[in-house]
Amino acid sequence: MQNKDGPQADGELEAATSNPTPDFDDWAKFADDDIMQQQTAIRAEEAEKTPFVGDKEPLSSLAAEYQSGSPILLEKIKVLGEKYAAIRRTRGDGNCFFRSFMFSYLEHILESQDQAEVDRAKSNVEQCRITLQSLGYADFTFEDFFALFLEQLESVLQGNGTSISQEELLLRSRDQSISDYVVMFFRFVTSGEIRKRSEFFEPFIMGLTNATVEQFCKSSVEPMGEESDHVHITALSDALGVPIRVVYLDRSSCDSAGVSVNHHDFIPAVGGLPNASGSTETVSPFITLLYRPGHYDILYSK
Amino acid sequence: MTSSSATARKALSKIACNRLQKELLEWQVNPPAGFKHKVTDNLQRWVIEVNGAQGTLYANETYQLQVDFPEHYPMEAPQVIFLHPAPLHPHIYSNGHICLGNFVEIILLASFFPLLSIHTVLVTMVCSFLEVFGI
Repeated sequence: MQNKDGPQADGELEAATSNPTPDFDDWAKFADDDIMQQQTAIRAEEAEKTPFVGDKEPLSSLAAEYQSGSPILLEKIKVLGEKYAAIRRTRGDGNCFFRSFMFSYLEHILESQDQAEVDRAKSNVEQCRITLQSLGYADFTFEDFFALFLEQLESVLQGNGTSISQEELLLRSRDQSISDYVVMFFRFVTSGEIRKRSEFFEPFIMGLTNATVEQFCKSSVEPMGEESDHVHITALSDALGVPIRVVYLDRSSCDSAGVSVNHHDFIPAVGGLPNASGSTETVSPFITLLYRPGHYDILYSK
Repeated sequence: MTSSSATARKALSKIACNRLQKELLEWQVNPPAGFKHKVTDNLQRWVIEVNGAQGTLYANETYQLQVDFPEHYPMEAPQVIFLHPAPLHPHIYSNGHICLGNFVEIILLASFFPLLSIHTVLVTMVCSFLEVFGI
């Protein structure tokens, strides 16, 4: 009954778990380690296909994907090509929104060297820390994650001892021991914001799932690998004060005036007002993500 | 016996080490009632004594929990088993493995994520045995 083959052993695994016979010796040999090994094998397989954050690719590589696919999508990609030059793919492991946001934000700071933006972000991060504290979490459970993010933020600003290059940023974003921690940091921040403003988020959450705010945060925000939706994006954008544009590439069409590509701007709340999504044109997002049902990648403007 | 799962584990990452040191300190400053951490020099494997709650079948008994922390703790959940002799309980096998088949799984999975400490996890878990399932 001992499984060393990882993923191939599916059937046997299921049989064993659903029927824990009193043969304890066999069960013990099998147990948790084998399941963990199988999980690791699946992750490794997935990791070979796409790194956490991919290389920048021309938009034509996106079109190539749909060559024999829906004409609406091909048409839309053509429209995208008027405004956007490139795409950077992220791994489809359920963390793609947070991972895309992480890379896109840090890359923006690296390129713009916008000290004012970094200072502003830092003060928002301090607010997030206070939020988590006031929600009753012990400092030691989240401070490492905060410190790691702030360290990344510092390092993309040049002129201090720990400055890093674009290549180094990419390497770090692909390094699980940094990348996953930053993703978890964003998950904490998102969860904290949703809990803090639970009255505001409650109706949106009820529209998505049949869960309470508390259950939603525990089951859909805090665990790694749980996919993100507009609730997560709104909360993260508000908490960090960073506007985010999401461009939607799906098969919806508005036939009257030819094909157009929808986008939605998540504009952070100002002065305690709820997220004023799309209502003002004064703030323009420097982060653009491409959404295809179930997945987010990074888009680059021309 | 109980150490069947003690196959080679990867050493703790630096972040996991830091975190566990803080948890240990927190545990010493503010120990949860009914639990006692047995001092060892192994940060990756904790052995914890649990007293059975009064008014249950387990009153006046002491059991030992073994907690193994993975390389990427707290990104990954710790593994918790009872050492021999494990309490007699419908959800604990005689080798100490805790059945994650139904109710307890829900409690554990819903409970564990990095914002929690092992302290909270153990208290939640043991309460679920001794109170929810208390006989």
